[in-house]
Amino acid sequence: MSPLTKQDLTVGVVIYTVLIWFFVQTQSMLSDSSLFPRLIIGIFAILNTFMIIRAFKEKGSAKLSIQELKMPLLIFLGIVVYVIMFRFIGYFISTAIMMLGMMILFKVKPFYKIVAVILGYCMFVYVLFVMQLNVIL
Amino acid sequence: MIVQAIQLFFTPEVLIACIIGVIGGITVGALPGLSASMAVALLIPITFKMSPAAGLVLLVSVYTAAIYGGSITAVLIHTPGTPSSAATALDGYEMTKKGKGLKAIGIVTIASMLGGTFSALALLFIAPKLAQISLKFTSLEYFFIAVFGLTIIGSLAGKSMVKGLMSGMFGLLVGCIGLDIMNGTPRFTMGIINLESGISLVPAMIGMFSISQVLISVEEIRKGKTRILDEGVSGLQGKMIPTKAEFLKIFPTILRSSVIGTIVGILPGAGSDIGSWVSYNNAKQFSRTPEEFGNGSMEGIAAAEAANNAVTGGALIPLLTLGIPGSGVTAIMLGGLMIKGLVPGHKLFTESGNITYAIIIGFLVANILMGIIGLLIAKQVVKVSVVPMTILCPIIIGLSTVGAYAINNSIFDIYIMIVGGIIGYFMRKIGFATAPIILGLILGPLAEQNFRQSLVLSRGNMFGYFLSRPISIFLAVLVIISLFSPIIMKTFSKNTTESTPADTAKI
Repeated sequence: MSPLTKQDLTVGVVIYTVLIWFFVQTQSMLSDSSLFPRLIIGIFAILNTFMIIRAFKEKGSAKLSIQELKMPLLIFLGIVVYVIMFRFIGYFISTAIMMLGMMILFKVKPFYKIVAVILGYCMFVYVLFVMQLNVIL
Repeated sequence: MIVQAIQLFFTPEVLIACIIGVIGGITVGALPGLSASMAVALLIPITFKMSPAAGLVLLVSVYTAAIYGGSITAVLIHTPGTPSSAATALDGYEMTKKGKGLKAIGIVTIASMLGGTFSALALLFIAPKLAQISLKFTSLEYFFIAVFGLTIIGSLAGKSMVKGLMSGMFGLLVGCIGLDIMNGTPRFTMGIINLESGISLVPAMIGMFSISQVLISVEEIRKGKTRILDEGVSGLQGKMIPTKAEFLKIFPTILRSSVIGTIVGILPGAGSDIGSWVSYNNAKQFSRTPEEFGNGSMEGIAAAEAANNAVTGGALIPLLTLGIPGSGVTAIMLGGLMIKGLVPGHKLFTESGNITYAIIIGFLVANILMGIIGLLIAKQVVKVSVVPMTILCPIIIGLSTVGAYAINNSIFDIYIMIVGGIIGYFMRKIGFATAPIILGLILGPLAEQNFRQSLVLSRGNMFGYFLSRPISIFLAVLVIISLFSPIIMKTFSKNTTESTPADTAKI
């Protein structure tokens, strides 16, 4: 079995698990409310079966490697931390920290360029969102 | 009355309102998360102190310009400013990567201007007659409109049709999350109160398009590629204005999409987002080069852009003539009309005719002005594509976060954005298109609500009810044609290709 086939199979199993969870949830709904979701779950399950069958016949999507995913997942983790910080210390300070950290990670040089981008961005957001649109940040 | 309206429009207050509306609309629309409806809602209190004509011209100018503005960031950084620009992002960003961002912006501007102007003329001349048709629509017709919209998934599927359809189904399923629209039962909310109002479309869209794009860009940064432009593309190439041949190629698409957009706009509940997808699909079906769609097709950009701006004028038709809002923005605008003491309907065109026609003329001028301003600033804004991704990525994350938050001042919306981002990233990595999810999210609730209402109206005899409604039969035929047209077109083109060498041989 090729790694590509294995990948689509894994995706298929994950989708089945999610669909089963959704289906179980519909059990506790009124019959009217569960009609449309069940219809969608049914069609989704049929399509998933098609995908799994096709996975055996042909090579599908690109293969994922841990090495390739490492950096994006690290950045995603950074975004999660940024959002948590936003909740506790406000938008501007958390955004400045996020931008500084990310640009240092990406080796943006010289340093004054980083400072200029952060200041310019924060001023723009402040004028537009806080002063003009009255968004509380 | 028209002369009085023109005189009223050219008073300094109204004229300035129109210019400010266009510039403000483009700016707000270009920012992810800030939709046209939000811009109009925020401006309504500002119009309190203005005259009715100036206030309402400001609102219609912001409306159409915001739809256009949303496409600028969609083209340059794959971040649709508004949901109606999601279709534009598919081909626009591909052109930017090839160094043709300037041309893409040029096409976006021209198509938006022509689409908007077409719908403004429709609003001016055929508004009352067209509005009559929508009066005959019931829930069954709206259900078929939603299903018709869902048939588009086929053309958004990307390399695998099955995976594209699965993405659409996922969108429809996610669209079910929240309180049941008919009886208030919570569905898939897991006890989270914030989920009872459903998954917010804009944060989900920002996550799936912008955050996933940032994560994909990070991979490229790691590989040493720090610019949006493709390898071997040294800088911005080509001219902004399309050549005569290019314009002749996209003009029929613009015209067709303008008609589609105007009609979609007239139908209540179907906004610019649906209009752009329907036109995109239609353009792909009519195109001689459908394989270019999704890879930087000028026709694809022109179709989506002409349609989403044409929807704006179309949506104003039932609003002004019947008081039925054709989209979320016009629903807010209806409030604006009421505040000014203007009641939609026959009297709006007779007793308050000078104000109404001044608004329509203002809308027409705003579309032309939008094109001129857009072409003037295009050369500057397109420089975004040569800014290193190492600087753009943190800016996109910051803008996406503030955009998702600003809609409802809700942190929960940012959580939706994050979840949408990681789902979108992995889906793109394993070959699932993300655009069908957004389409499913938009059309799912519309389809379900109208389907269930039709069941109630049919009193147990759905087939008999369906046969008693000619418009439904017509729409059902349209759905079938849309479903099977790719196969028919493929067979037709195959036959044509097979017959051509033979014909040539005879000569």
